[in-house]
Amino acid sequence: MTPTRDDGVLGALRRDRVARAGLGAIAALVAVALAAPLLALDQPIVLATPDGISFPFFPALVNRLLFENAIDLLFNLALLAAPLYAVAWRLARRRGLRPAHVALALAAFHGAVFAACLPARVAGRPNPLHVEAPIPDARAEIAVREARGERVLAVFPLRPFSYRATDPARSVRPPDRTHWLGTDKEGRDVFARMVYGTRISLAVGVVAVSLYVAIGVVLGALAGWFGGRVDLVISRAIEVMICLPTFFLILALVALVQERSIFHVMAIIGVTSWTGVARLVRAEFLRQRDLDYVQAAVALGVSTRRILFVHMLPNALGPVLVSATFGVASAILVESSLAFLGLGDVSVASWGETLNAGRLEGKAWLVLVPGFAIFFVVSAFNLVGEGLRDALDPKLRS
Amino acid sequence: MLEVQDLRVAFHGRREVVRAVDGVSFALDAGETVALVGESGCGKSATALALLRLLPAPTGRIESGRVALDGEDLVTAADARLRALRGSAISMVFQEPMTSLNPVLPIGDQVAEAIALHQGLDDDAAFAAAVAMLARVGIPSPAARAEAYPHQLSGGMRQRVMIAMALACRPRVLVADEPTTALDVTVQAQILALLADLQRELGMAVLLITHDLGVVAQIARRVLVMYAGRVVEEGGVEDVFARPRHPYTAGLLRSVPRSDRPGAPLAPIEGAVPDPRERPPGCAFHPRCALAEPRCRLEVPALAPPAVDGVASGAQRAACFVTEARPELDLLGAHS
Repeated sequence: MTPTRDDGVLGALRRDRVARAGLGAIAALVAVALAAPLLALDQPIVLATPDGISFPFFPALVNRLLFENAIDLLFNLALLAAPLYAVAWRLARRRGLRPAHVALALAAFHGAVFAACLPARVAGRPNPLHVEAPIPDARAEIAVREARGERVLAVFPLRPFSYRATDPARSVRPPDRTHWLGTDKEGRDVFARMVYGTRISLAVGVVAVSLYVAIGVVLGALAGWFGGRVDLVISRAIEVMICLPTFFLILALVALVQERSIFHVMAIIGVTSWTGVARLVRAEFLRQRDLDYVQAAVALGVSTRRILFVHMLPNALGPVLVSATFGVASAILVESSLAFLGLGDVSVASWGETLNAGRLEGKAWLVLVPGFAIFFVVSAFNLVGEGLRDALDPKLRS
Repeated sequence: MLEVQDLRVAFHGRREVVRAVDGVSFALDAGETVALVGESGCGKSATALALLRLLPAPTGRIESGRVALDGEDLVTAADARLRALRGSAISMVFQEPMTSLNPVLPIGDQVAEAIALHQGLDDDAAFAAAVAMLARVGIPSPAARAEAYPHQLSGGMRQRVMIAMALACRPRVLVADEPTTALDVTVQAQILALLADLQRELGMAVLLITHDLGVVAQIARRVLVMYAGRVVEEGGVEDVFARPRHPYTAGLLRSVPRSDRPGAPLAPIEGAVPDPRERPPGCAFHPRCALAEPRCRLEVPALAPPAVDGVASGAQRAACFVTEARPELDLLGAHS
């Protein structure tokens, strides 16, 4: 059973040019995030030497020394498995399976593979899926071989740089033909950092917002449905949370965490920002509680949990969806702000961090590029959010 | 089949308590249709909701009484047991087909839900059963319509879907709360005919709540007249309509045009239904009753015991001191 809004909403969204532009921009960002290793990685896709042909690119994608972060691993697995998923999707659709079921199955499979790759050791033994092979410096090796007069053919990704490899000799270079967007203080390629930063931004936005939407929906639904004392407690909790300035609360919590990772940042944004969704859902459930179709469901003997989440939640989802879309934009902004203030995860390529480096060095390209990237992604989500809000408003839709 | 004894329902507001149903008793036999009639605010809908324990929490409460379905008391049943009975043994059709279906779920899924729930079928089998049920209630091309959303259907079609939902699991008792009030007259007749058909087929008891005496005459065998939270008259439809024994029933009958008494003037009942927070003492109808005697102001008349022994269900009885004392009185003729 797939709860869907009536087709008019999607139609209205499609007719809205601004929202369509926003959707296009988000699709482009997702494509960049997915294809990041094809855009920038220091491992050749094909390496042909007199010793033979090798493809260092592919094992590198799951190498945890090269891609330490779980977000990168998740996206890399998606990139590797994308052709497989496309074929599976086609086959499943041809056999008449429901799209939602197929998507769910593929996502579950992906999650399982991802989870299986994560631990370095399983039951005390090394995990065979957890690759930590030492990575050769491909460019140095090629240079050595060419110096020896060997014929070497190497096909690199678009830019042959990793977002993590530092090079003190190339510190703070302006954009040129090698480093399209220059380098930062540590000599890391800014183009690569921008590309991989897309992954961080999208992941932070989606994960943090999913977390707080889940919290907000459950609390709001309970408060709205049960009312009375449950509502009293949840509503007071919401009011207390609203009184605290969220960004400073996040700052304080982030500062408390030692060995910060990007997941701490996601979790902290998630647990501090649920009040808006909780209030929306509470109001929607209060309104719906006495509506006839809810009564009718009760009269048919449907369980409370099913009434809450199958019958009422889809009717409350419109405003939540709008708020979540805006929420993604603001979560991305918060993460960038934290990284800008030096409170982010230093191991990931965050746009905010590059922005801060640019501010410290006083170099225009280090400020403008990440600044524009943040502006672009935040605007895209806001445009889609506004389009969605208009599309869901029946008064504007007529 | 269904036996209601001394049912009392109250709504607890911030300051006052509204006694909406004040000691209602009646019984429903398998296969019979009983109409519960009365003006707005007389407690007929509260009675209907109380039967399935659907009163809006936390204000609406069943204060006392018994609702026995084949001997099992629904008032004291555990929540899980009640959920199992709702929709499978006792069902309800609501007044507003426009709002009684969930706007974001296809109608086939909504009908299938009850079937999957109570008959333990898997989703596909339940959906197939739902399509069959939609066909049974007269929805054209049911397989295609099962995928439709409620807003794509007319009011009459939606009420058919509601009936399909309520009857999908062949309940023993159906409570229909003004099922045709929101529909066009022509559609009303179709829906009533459908209900009567299905009742015969499934052999269920129907409690039809309505304020439309025409509907009562059309499909009910017995009628209960409610006023201010109490049943004031009960009996076979033909008996009650021909010779009401309570002045209120007579007033109701005189206020609708009747084809069997052409030329009889329409006479609305003077005054208004008493405020349920301040019911008059004695017979609640006495302030509006032309026949009221001093005794009516002081004592509450009880529903008289059945006049004819042994035929309890068909017998006519009323809660009125005046007609009890003067059985020969023709209330319909008295004021014309």
